Amino acid sequence: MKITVTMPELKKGMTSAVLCRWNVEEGQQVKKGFELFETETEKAVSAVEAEQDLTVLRLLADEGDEVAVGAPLFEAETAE
Amino acid sequence: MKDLTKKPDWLRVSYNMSEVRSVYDLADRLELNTVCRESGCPNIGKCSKCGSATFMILGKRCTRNCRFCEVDPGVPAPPDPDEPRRLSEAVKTLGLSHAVVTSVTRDDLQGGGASVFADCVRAIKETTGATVEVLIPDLKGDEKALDTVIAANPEVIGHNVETVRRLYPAARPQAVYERSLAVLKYLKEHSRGSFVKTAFMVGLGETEEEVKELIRDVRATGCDLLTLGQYLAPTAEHLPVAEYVTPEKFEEYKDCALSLGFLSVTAHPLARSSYMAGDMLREAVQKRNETL
Repeated sequence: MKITVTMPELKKGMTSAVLCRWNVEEGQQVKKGFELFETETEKAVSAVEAEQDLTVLRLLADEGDEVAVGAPLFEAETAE
Repeated sequence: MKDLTKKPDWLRVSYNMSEVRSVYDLADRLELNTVCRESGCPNIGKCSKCGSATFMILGKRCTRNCRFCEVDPGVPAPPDPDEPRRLSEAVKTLGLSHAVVTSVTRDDLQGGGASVFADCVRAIKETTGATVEVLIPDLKGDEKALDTVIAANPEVIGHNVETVRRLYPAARPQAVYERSLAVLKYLKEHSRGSFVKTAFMVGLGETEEEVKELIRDVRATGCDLLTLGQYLAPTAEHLPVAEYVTPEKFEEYKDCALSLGFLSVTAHPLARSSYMAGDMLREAVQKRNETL
């Protein structure tokens, strides 16, 4: 199933976050728990894990971009 | 001038959003607040991985306005008499072996909400097998209110001193350093076997000597357990971070505290009041048993 992963709300009141780093590239298969990307909030650098096994299809944001909560980050294919 | 715009490597956390949402959803369903969410705790990812959360009772608006805290100040709603039952249901559902319960400060209530803390402790103990830790405000030093909490007999009673004496006016303008120490002393002298715990932050501009003075002052109250962590500013409107304290310095503070006789000390940049709370209780119980 094709899914679009969006910027999560990592803390109360967060409206956007800077995408600091991609830890994946297009075409890469990852297991649940793999740290996909890193963002920075006021308090910490936060790595966001894959919620399920997936294959990254297309990255939709660049490192350094400020991405709004809910805005698309990447498309992926999952088994379910 | 130190560059504080770049986070040091040790302030890195990870999130699995499905695990975080699972805890949030339970709290929402039971109409409960967690300090994890309301204070923007950076450990949400780690704690939700263990299915753990620290619940915040008595609403989510605080009658004080501490300049380091992300919990919203304002006029709180009246206490909800059903909250202890729902809280115990959450503890049961999550299968917590150690439940940590804190609150906003309720200076508007007689006794500061102590009776609600007591009701929550009893509800959890009656319906689950969990040990209970309460993290209470200073309750204005009201001994009757403190007795109410003590009588519920939680395994741990905590009250946070938060920072060194000199920074109270800037960080905790409605609190009093000596009063917080007096609360810890009273808890230690009157509790019926409960461990007494406190926590504070570093990185607000205190000196090393002030930190060590604080550790000595807290230990002099008889306090058993200590947690210290890095202050992280919630927003640009809060007090700024003055310094990122290194993990090595945290180890030094931990050694200092242990040498003074604390039963358990957690000192880590990401440590918060309830961080690894169950482990700290187990260590304290073990050490107390060894000395009996």
